Amino acid sequence: MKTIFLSWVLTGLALLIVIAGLFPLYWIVVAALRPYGTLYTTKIMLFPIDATLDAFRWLLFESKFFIWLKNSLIVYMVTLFTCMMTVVPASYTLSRFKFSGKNSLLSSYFVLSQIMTGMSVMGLIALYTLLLKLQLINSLIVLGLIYAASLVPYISWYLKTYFDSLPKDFDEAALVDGASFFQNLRYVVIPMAKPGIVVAITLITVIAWSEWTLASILLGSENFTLAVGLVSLQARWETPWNRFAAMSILYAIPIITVFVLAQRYLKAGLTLGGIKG
Amino acid sequence: MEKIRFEHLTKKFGEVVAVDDLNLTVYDKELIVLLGPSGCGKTTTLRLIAGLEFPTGGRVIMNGEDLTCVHPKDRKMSMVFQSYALYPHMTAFDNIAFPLKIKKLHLNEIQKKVREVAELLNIEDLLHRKPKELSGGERQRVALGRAIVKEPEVFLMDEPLSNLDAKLRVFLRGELKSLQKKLGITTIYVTHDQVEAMSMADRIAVMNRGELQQVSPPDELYHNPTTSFVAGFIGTPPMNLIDCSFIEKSGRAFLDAGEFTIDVSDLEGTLKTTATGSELVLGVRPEDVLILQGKAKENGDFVASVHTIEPLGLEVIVTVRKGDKLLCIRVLGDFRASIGEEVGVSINKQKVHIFDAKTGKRCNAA
Repeated sequence: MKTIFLSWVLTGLALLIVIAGLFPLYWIVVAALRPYGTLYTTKIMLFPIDATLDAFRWLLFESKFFIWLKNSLIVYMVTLFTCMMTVVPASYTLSRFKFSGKNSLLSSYFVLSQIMTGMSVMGLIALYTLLLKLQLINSLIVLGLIYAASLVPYISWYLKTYFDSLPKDFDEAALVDGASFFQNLRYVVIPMAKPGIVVAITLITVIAWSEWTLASILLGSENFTLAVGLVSLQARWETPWNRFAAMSILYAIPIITVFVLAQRYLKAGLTLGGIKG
Repeated sequence: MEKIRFEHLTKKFGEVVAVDDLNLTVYDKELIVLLGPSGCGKTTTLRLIAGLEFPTGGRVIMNGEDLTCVHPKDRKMSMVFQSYALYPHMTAFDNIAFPLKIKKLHLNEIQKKVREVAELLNIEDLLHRKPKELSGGERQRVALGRAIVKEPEVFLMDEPLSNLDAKLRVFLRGELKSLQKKLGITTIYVTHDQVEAMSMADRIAVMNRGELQQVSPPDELYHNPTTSFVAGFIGTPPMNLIDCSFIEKSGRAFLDAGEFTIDVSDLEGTLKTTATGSELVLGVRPEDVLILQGKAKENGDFVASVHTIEPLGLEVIVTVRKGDKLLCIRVLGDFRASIGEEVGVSINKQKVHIFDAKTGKRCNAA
């Protein structure tokens, strides 16, 4: 009797926590579905009886949503491509080969990226001035490259650790089987490191998709990404909160998709079995 | 015909010398086993041949060509790893096909060759499985298939049977040997298991602490070890090695082991010329000692007491004790005695091995 009671109480508590956590999400959905203006009334309405898709219709047919989406995708693809092309060979090399300066390279990766974070505002000013002089401002590709540059150290560290955990025997077997450095990467190392690489892609996606500060400084309005576009909905005197909420939902969908796709690969033990049982 | 030659091959890891000035010639089509205790440098030697390690000194020569600067992928060798190292994300078929895929062979040809190899190894039914769905013996065969399909000039095998259970190991070593003879591919095989080495090898190269001790066919290695290390390493139970000193008394020569002495007058001449001092090691195989019971016990070299008796069916391993010295004796057939019983011990003088205690080298001729 007592244990049943306890389990009911615990379940109830857990439910409360879940509800508290999900409520903001629910509130955004409700806000997106309500007509403009009604959010300012003092009457709290938990279920939107006056639901309408006006905000979504405005976003999809009247706003610049698709231009921003295209811009975001360009930045994202540049970031992802640059990161992957540099990080995978680099972290593999850092994991497998001995060369002079390797340790100082690894620590400078860390220290330099910390300095950059520490001087954030000054760094931004410097970057802005630099790009202005080089006439590289207001370019989506340049923004993607900057994102990639800031991500490479972290992702390399992470992937290096992952490669460290893969037994060297596979590489050596591939070598003796006749594979070159890149064939070994392509056919043996990368397929085996899939879980690690998927985590890296997820990290890159989250950062490249949601970064706002740099994008808002460097991009002109025709080049806004989704993050900048979303914030630009906030007008000086009033914000159309229903549109803002609707766009946040659409904005989040790609990231949620990446997470769902990634989950398949994030199981451990993928390498089990090739090495002795 | 010479296939591979090591010339002063040396590998150091920091201060540790893993392979020390190795000189060895491997002949075409032979199966040579590198044998030694763990850490003796045999695996490092194999990795030097494969090109997975770069030598500190010396070189490896194959078909007269210096391999030092040849990339592992261009060495025309196959290697079977102790861990098998089957690619976990590929099926058995893809694993075997991998070296061919790298060579960019046509798909039809790849399929044909993989089928042939699979047939040879009896694994046609397993080709669609991933390594984790295979048993140890099956993985071993797939790894072997991957090595064979490449049609290499040399097979390198790094303890390929050590992860299998005892029964399968005995079965597979016979198979492996006949396969090697059938394919006629020069094979360098590394193991720490002397029985495996004896049963498979055309020649055995015994290594210890990075140094080559002896290279001989198995039977010669057994009957005529050139160092005390080889003598103690080969054979189960191992050869009895007894420290003793060379003395001369009233015109005859003896080996004095403290508890007993052995008359070695016949060997006096050779011992005097080859030994560096009077400290020697007497080596006697367990089967070269006779146990005398009953009245005959006084006819032996000395009398000792029975320490342990291990009946193994076909033979009985008896250990006798004389003072602080233990002597292992192999008795064929039946042997009955109680522990502590006094027995006579007679050593076959024709079959003793005498080594220099300082250098470990053999003193008496074979």
